[in-house]
Amino acid sequence: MTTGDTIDVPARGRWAGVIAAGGHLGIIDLHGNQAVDFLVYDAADPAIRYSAQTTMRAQRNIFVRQGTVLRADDGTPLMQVTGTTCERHDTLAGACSQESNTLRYGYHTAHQEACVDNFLLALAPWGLGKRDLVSNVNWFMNVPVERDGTLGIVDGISAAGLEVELRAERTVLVAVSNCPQVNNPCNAFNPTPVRLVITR
Amino acid sequence: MPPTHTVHGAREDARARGAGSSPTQPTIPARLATDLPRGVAPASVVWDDTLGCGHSASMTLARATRVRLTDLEGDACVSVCLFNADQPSERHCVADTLKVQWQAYPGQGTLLLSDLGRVLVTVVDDTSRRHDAVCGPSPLARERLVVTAAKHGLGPRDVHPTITFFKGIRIAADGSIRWEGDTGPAGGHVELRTEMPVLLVAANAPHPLDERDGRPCSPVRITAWRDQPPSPADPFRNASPEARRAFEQTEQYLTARGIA
Repeated sequence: MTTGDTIDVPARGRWAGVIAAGGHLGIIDLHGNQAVDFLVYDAADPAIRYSAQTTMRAQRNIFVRQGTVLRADDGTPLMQVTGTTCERHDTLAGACSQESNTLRYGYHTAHQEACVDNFLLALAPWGLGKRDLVSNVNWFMNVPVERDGTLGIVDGISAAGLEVELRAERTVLVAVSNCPQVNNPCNAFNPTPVRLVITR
Repeated sequence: MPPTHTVHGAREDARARGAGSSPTQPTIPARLATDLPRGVAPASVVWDDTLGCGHSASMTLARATRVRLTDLEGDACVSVCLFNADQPSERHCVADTLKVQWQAYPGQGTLLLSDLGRVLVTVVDDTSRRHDAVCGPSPLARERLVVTAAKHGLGPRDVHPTITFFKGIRIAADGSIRWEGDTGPAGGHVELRTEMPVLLVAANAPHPLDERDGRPCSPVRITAWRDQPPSPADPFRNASPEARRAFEQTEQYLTARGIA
């Protein structure tokens, strides 16, 4: 069980902050099946940032699991998954946005809250903006790929109290969007709070 | 005494080099390009270049340009970045491209979507059928994308996740990634139709999962010509509700911007 500084991120909320090298970040799915969108940057040089593509190809697997190293474009480690009680997590499907919501669910969703807005708001105080948004990790989100390539967000495999723990392999800036999506099962259609726990 | 010992001699030497040629060079002006796809009028050609392994190129292209990438010898591997030419903060979003279209493997009919819910280009033809939206560019390809994007005032932070053409992967149920292997059909091609003005940046370099000795790659030809915008009955526009809305949002942008 993770203990340390606790930050409760409300349903649909956001957070960004620095985790010192060697420190740990725990993310707890308090109520179950709550997608947590996640980006990570080298705190000293945010141009060195999470690359889903480099991470997937380095481990030759699309799923983020126990032991997965979250890598930057140049292959160097940013964080590592040191523990997870949820079997696997997604890094293919990206963050929801108002713009992609309208494509997926219709124009009536144009003004709903979305993870891209959360990321932009969370990262602005750190001087980061739109160009810094890349394919992210979706903790607790379930995105299987069928044999013919059909992929999609389906009912979750997480549950209340499941958690993931990450170790910072260097001093990193982390951004979290507690996904506000209400049009697909990534939050069981009901966004709920999550807890972050930071230990040095 | 070498002829380049004097300025006049150096000038003569430099100018004599203009008669040279390379199998990997652009055709300038592009309308002089030969071996065009059937039915393409030479006068409509706006870009023709051949990239060897490790080469990159870019072009700003008008809406309704048809861009054919030809895998001349069967071992090309082309990573592509795409930006809205008027507003490069809008760029290709691989995650939305896969998620919105419910499909991990790009091919004919795939819309390469921007991060603002619009269609940058449509894959209108594909005889290669080996492409990769998962693994991203190799270090060499990424370096070439960074350098080439920099010539448009863009920085490394603008070089987004990419799709790689002519080298495929498959994903197993357990999530494992299998590289589909080395050479494809020589002469295989993909054709992209620009749906708005785009900046296209391309790099030809070995695939990151290619473990062959020497990691070879072979030249890719890029040929682009003026075409017509899609009609309301366009099959790719009407392939799905998501595609229809993506085209509608694109047309909304072009109309408001005054470039429809």
